[in-house]
Amino acid sequence: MSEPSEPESDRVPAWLHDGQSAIRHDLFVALSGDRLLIDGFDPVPLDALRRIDGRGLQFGRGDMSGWRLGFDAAPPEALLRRLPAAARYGGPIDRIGLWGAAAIALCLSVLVILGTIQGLDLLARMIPYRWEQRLGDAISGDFGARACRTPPGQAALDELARRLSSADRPVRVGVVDIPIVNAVALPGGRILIFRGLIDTARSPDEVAGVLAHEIGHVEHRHVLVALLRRFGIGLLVGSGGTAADYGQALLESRYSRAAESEADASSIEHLVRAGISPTPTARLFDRLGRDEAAMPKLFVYMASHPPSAERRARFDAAAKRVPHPRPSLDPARWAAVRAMCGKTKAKDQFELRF
Amino acid sequence: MADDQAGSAFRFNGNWREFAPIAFTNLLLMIVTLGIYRFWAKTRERRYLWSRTDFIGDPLEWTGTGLELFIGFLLVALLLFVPIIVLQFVVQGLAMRGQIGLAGLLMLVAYAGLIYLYGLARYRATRYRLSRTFWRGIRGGSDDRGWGYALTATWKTAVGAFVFGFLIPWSMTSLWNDRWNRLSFGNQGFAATADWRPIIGRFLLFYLLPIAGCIGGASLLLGSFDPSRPPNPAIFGAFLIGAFAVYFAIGIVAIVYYAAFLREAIGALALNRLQFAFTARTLDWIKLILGHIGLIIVTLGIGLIFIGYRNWSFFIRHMEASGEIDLAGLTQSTTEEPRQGEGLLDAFDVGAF
Repeated sequence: MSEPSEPESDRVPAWLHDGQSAIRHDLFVALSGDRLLIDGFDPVPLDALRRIDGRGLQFGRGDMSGWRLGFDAAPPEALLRRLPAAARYGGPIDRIGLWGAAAIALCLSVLVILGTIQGLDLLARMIPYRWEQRLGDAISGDFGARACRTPPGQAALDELARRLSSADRPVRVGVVDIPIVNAVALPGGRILIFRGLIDTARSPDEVAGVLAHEIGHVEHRHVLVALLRRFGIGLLVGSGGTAADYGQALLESRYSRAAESEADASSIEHLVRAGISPTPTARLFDRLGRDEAAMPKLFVYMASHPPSAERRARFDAAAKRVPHPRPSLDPARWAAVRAMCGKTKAKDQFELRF
Repeated sequence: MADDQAGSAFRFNGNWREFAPIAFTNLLLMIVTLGIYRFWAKTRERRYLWSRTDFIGDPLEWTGTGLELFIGFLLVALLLFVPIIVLQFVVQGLAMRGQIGLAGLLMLVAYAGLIYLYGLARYRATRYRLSRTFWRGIRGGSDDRGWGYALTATWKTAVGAFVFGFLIPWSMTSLWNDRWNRLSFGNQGFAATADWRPIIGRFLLFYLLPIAGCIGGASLLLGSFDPSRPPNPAIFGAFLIGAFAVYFAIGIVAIVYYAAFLREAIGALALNRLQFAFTARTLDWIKLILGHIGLIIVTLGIGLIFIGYRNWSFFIRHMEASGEIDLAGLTQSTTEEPRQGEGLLDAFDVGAF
C-alpha cells in the first residue's frame, strides 16, 4: 500500500452535494488505498459508499443523509472497479438472480399457504372447547327479541339434541324468528335453527337431520377452523389485491365443501345411532335441490354445499341401516316446537353475516 | 412531447420502454411472494420516477425503502385491523342481544375514529414522501406529527358535510392549507393560501345535476305518457340510457371540479420565493383517464402496472414553478425523519394528492 494521502490514480472530475446545502461542488477525486480523496473535503472510505439507483453514476453514504458524489462522465476503469455495484431488486434477489429468486419465492409461498392451512386446523383443535363456548356467548348472546322461547318447545329440542350429540361436546339449540330455511352452527356449540326451517319441514325427522348436520360441524370444530382460516389467510394474502381475493374465496369454498361433506357423514351416523330415519332428510334435500337445479353448473364448484342430489343419495343409502325407525319427536312435542315462534307471521327479512 | 414542458422548471424525462422492465419484474415478484414484494416494488417504481424528474435541471431522488413501507403496513395491520375485527364482533354481539342503540353508538364512535385516522394518514403520507425526497442533497419533512392536523381534519370534514355538502370546497382548500403549512423543504417552510371562492362555482354544478335529471326524466315521461296505449319498451331503454348518463355526468362534474381544485391548491403553494403552479385542465384529465381505460382494455388488464407511471408523468408535466431559489440559503432539513412508511394511508387505499 502506498501512503494514505498520496493519490494512486489519476484525478477524476466529479460533483458533490454535501448534504448541508443545495450548492453543487465541482471537484476532482482520486483513489488512495481504500479511501477516496475528495478535493476540499475529508477522504471517504470506499466501503462507506453505496451506489444510488438513480440517473447517471451516483454514490451516497449510509452515515450522511443527502451526501451524493456523482460523475457526469464515466470515470476510468481503475476507479470504477473499486466502487460498489448497483442493487436492482433489493436484498437477496440480486445475489440469487431474478428467476432463481422467483422460483424460490414461489415454492416458499406454496409451503406457507399449505402450512398455514394445516397449522390453523391444528391450532383450532388445540383451543379448549370451553374458550370456544365463551367466544360463542360473546358473539351471539341470547338473540334478544328474535329468539323464540317456550319451555315445552325448548325442552323437546334439547332432548332431541341430546339424542343426536355426544356427551363431550354439549350443544345448545335455539330457534330464531327469521324466515330462512336453514340452520347455522356458531362457535362454542351453539346451533341456531331459523323459523323458516321449522315452518317448511314436513316432519320432525327433517329438522333432526339438519340439526344432526350442524352437530357434525360442532364436533369437527369447523366453525372455529373457518374463522381462523378466514383471518389467517386474509392476513397472509391481504396485501395481494384482487387476484388473491379470488384465490381466497376458492380456497374457503373448497374447504367448506369438504367440511359440509364431513358434517353430512356425522349427521348420518348420529341419525342411525338414534334410530331416526335419514329418508325424510333426503326428501328435504330433494325439495331444496329443485331450487338449485336452476343454478348453472359452474356455480356448483363455488357453492359452499355439495350438490343436493349427491347429498340426497347419501342419506337415502343410509336408510337401510335403520330397519325400525322411531320418530325423532312425538306429535305433542313436534307441535310444541312448531308453536315456539307463535302464530304470528315471521318478521321481515334480516341479514345475518357469518 | 418534450416541448410542452420546455418553459417549465419541472421536467419528466422517463420513457415507458425504460420503465417496462421494472414494471414487469415487479409484477412477477409480487405474484410469487403473495404480494409481499409490493412494498419493494413501489420503492423501485418511485426510485425510477423520481430520478427521471428534473427540477431546474437536477433530478429528484427517492430514498425511501421497501422495508419501512412493509413495517408501516405491519403496524397498521396490528393497530388498526385487529381492533376493527374485534369491534365488529362486539357490535355483532350487541346487536344480537338486542342492544341496537349501544351498537349504533359504538359504530358512530368508530366512524369518527376512522375519519380522524384518515386525516392523520393523509398528512403522514405527504410528510413521509417529502422526507424521502431529495433534491441536490436536500430533503423535506416536518417536525409536526399531525395529531393536531387530524383533529382539525375531523371537524372540518364534518362541517363540510353539513348543509348538503355546500362547505366541501371550503373544507378541502382549508385542509390543504393546514397540511402544507406544516411541511417544509430544507430549512424553508411551505406556505399555502388556497381559497375556496374561485372553485365553489364549479362545485355548484353538482347541485344542477339532479335538477337537470328531474327535468329530463319528467319530460320523457310526459312526452310518452299515453294511457290508451300499452307501455312502449323504447321508453325503458331511454330510462336505462338516462341512468348511465347520470353516472357519466357525475363523473364529469367531479373531474371539472377536481381539476379546478388542484389548480387552485397547487397554484397557491409557495416555498420561500418559489411559486408553484399546476396547469392540467379538465380536458387534460379526461384525456388521461380515457388513456388509462384504453390502455387497460387493449392490454387485457396488464396495463394496470403502467398507471402509476402515467399518473406521475401527467402530474410532473403539468407542474410549474416560478420565482427564484437561493441555493446557498437552502440548507438541509433538521426535521425528524419518520421511521415507517405510509402504511396508514395504504390502508385507506388512496393517493396523497
